[in-house]
Amino acid sequence: MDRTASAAHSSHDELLIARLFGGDVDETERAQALDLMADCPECAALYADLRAIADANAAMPIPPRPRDFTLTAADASRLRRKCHVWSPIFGAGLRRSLGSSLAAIGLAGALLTGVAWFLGGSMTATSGTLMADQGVQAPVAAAAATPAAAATAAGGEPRPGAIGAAPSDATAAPVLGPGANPVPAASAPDGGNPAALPTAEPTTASGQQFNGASPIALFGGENGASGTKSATTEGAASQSGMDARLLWLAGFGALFAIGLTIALLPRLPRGRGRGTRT
Amino acid sequence: MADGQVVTRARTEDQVRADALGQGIDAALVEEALRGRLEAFNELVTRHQDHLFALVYRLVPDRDQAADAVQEAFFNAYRNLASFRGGSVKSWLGRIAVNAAMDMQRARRRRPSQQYPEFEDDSWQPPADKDVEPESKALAAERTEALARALGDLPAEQRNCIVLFDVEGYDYAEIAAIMRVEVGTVKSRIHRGRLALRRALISNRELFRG
Repeated sequence: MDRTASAAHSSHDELLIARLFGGDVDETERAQALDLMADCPECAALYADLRAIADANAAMPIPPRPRDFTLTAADASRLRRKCHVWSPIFGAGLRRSLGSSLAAIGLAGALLTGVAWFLGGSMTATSGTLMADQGVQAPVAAAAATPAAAATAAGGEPRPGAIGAAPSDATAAPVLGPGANPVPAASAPDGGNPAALPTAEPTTASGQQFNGASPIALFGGENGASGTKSATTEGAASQSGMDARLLWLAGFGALFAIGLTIALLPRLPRGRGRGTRT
Repeated sequence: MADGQVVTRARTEDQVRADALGQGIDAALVEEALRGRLEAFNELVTRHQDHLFALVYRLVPDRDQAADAVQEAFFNAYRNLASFRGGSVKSWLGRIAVNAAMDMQRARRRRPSQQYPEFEDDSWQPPADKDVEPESKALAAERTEALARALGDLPAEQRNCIVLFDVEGYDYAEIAAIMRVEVGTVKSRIHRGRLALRRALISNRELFRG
């Protein structure tokens, strides 16, 4: 085969020859392909090779079948059994995805709840209370306010946790309404040193000076009126917050467990486990 | 075929008659199997297992894996016997087997292994007529090995289409339905696959002539 013929063949459409061989040409293309084969020996050789390869492929010997594929009674019984309960609802892939998602949500929720729990007393107590009952926010701050005022009354430094909580009785810390003058809190009923009172930093109900207190605690006590809750209510609210946290933790834990179960639960045997497409 | 005559897929009258008879027997066996007779289904298995194994072996070039795929295909067929809507049982089983083979191919992609190990193994040799000259026998074995290797190197999609077209005699539309792709895609895979096969075998082209 000379070089000129090879160079000419390189510009020929081999795919057209393959399509001619596969009977996938219209009349015009067929004429073009036949012209190519008549003029180009390499195109003709290509067609001959395609035919020889197809014939060899069809005649390719196959090794003997390694076993008999008839079904045993046990196979038949197993195959007749109902599919796993999940199978009619969704396939294995979707089941795993859903299970993993649920487990992830449950785990994240449980972690968040746990972290919130351990982050600190007033913060978590308030957040727990908030989650449980939006209407019982103030008692948490009030719970902090009362000991602070007591400490003040006893001559100690006032605790900043009382910020924003209105006094429920004579032991309350000083509170200012917006624009109001700082007024010392009432003196301690037990006769504590009144001189200690001015050391208590005046604060406003809007929490402009909170002296490092947790904003959540402020949030809990921003309504001064709410600070009038009694100690009994505080205890109940604290218990309620604890219950709510436990409830959330249990819920997230259950979600995690359910998700994990869905994702990992093995399907009952169905043949050899692959899906069926017929 | 240098005169440009395209491949024809005509079947003889005897073949058509034999196919019709076979389809009648298959249909009766399906009916029996649907009534719960396992023996009837196993008769179907016996009738078609050689053909299905030959088909799947060309798609999954490993004897053990091909056998697993065929077994899976028969399991699937038994499980879904009620979904058989008439027509050719052979084609229906063939479609199930091709799907099982493609599942196996996907598994093989994750765990590559040697292609057509039987052709590398001297303990198994393709059967040959007793009258065939030893030289011709050796030539045939060499051709088979070269072709098997070239087929194994083809992308599975191209190989599947070529096998279904050249060996099984499906037309483009049937292959498209089996493989769930467009007819044009099937045509492209077959034509390009053939050209790729030819390129792979160009150094052995003498093995395929005469």
